[in-house]
Amino acid sequence: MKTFFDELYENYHHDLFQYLIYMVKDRDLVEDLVQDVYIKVLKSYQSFDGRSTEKTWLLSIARHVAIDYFRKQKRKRNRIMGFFDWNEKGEQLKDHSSLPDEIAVQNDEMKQVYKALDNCTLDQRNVIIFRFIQGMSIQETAEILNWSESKVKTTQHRGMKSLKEMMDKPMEGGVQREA
Amino acid sequence: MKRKSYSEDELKEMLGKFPKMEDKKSKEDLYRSIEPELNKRKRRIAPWITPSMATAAVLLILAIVLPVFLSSLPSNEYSGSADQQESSTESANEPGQDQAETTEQKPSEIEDSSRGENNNSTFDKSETEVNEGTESPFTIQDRSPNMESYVLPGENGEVVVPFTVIKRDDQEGQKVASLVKPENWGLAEDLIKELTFKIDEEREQADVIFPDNFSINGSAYTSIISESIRWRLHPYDVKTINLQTESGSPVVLGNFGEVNTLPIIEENRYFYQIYTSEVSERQFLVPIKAEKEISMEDALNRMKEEQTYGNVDPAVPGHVNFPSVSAERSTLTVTVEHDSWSSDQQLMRMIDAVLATAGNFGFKEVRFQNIKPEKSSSYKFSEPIPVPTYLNPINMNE
Repeated sequence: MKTFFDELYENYHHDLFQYLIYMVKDRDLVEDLVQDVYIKVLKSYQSFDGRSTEKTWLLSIARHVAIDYFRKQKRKRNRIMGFFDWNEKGEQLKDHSSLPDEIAVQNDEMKQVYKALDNCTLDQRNVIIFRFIQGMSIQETAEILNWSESKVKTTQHRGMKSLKEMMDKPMEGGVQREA
Repeated sequence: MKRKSYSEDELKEMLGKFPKMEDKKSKEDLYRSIEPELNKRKRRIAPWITPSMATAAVLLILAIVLPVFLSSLPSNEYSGSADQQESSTESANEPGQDQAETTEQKPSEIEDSSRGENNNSTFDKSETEVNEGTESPFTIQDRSPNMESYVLPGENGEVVVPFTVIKRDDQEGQKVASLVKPENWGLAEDLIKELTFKIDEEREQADVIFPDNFSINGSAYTSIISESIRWRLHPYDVKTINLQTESGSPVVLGNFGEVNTLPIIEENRYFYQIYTSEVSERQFLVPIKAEKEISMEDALNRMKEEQTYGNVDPAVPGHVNFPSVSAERSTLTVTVEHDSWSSDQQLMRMIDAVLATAGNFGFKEVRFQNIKPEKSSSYKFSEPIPVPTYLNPINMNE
């Protein structure tokens, strides 16, 4: 088991960590999710049929782990919303999550793109991370997401449009800059 | 101040410049945190079911056997035992009651009781035979035309499990791949089922034919396929393993690239341990590869090691030591220091694993010294024991 783990770690851990950290944006949480991914991968090795590469197989499991996390979050949020008066207290809530060190040292535009990712849907965010942050091809992205290539292209187009709209809004998160 | 709208290309460029986030947790820490979860064995049935069913089965057997047994005892034995019981328990029962019950036996029942005695003696005899001469569960010494070796990966793909299928008469000519049941035996999916093996022992070579469209990715996957092929051919007199596709081209074996041949299993590299899965009671001897060539003495000691692989247990119990290991021609002599064996099976597992390991080191037989008892259910330790030809028999007649 350790040998197989070593091999996966050496070859793909960086890709796995990058994907999850840009998806969930919380280092502590990512550490937990990374563990879940490896446990699932190592326990389901026999189901790996070799039709995809180990990398796309690992990342597709990571994607499912991330989706599970977001679903649980959504359920939790829905439960809490029933007890919470959004009219009175909702405005007092602010996003206090600090930027990771690696992002905090970037220029304002980069910080805004990082924040604007939150306004994309999960599918759009998946495609944008795989395609442009991790530099994967449309084919690889389609394999990980188990989609057709045309669906990847469509989602990519919509995701970039959504990102652009966010960036172009000066007051709500966009950046003003000289023409 | 004018605001310029961002183009898609600008956004893509910025995304491409996003910093690489480094994981601060080390690989070792990460493995330590997932290891307990990996080694956890799934409980597939409620914990109370097995004991309850076992108790119910015992009660049922007692309910069937006891009346038959009591009624089948000859009258004098029955009264004698009853007397003994009475004297020991100081029961207030009248002795006459037993007599009365005994005299009520019908002739047919007496006949049955004498048959019962015969049956009992037959049972005792067969039990003695089982104790003294059963086949080992892990090894076969002889070769037979209805035996065929095969290999499946372990559940998590870290080990390959070589085994021997003993075909039924009506299965002669059937591909062994069609007979294997990995899911029943706690093993993983068959990765070599699409390959055709042509074994020519006269020319000491085997041709392994891959389908033209066969493709594999990933070094772990490639390594398991290559090990499976080598172990599949190990019991045969084969010195060369040729690989080719149906159309005669070289085989592309993952990150190995184009491959025409594979080496046969090396000597002095493997020791054996025990593979156990939660889904099956069947256990297998599995070869564990050492990082480099090792001595026989090292191999014996490494058989005591706990492995990090799931499902693999040491073949040599912790209470066993090998103070002396010597070789004379093809005979290995091993002195065994040990405490008491937890079961005959524990002893058998160790003996078979040592025999199989000795086979990898080129020995033909092993003499075990100082083992008590002097014989197990399969072996007499007063004589050297030949190393096995085949491993892990699975009899299709059963």
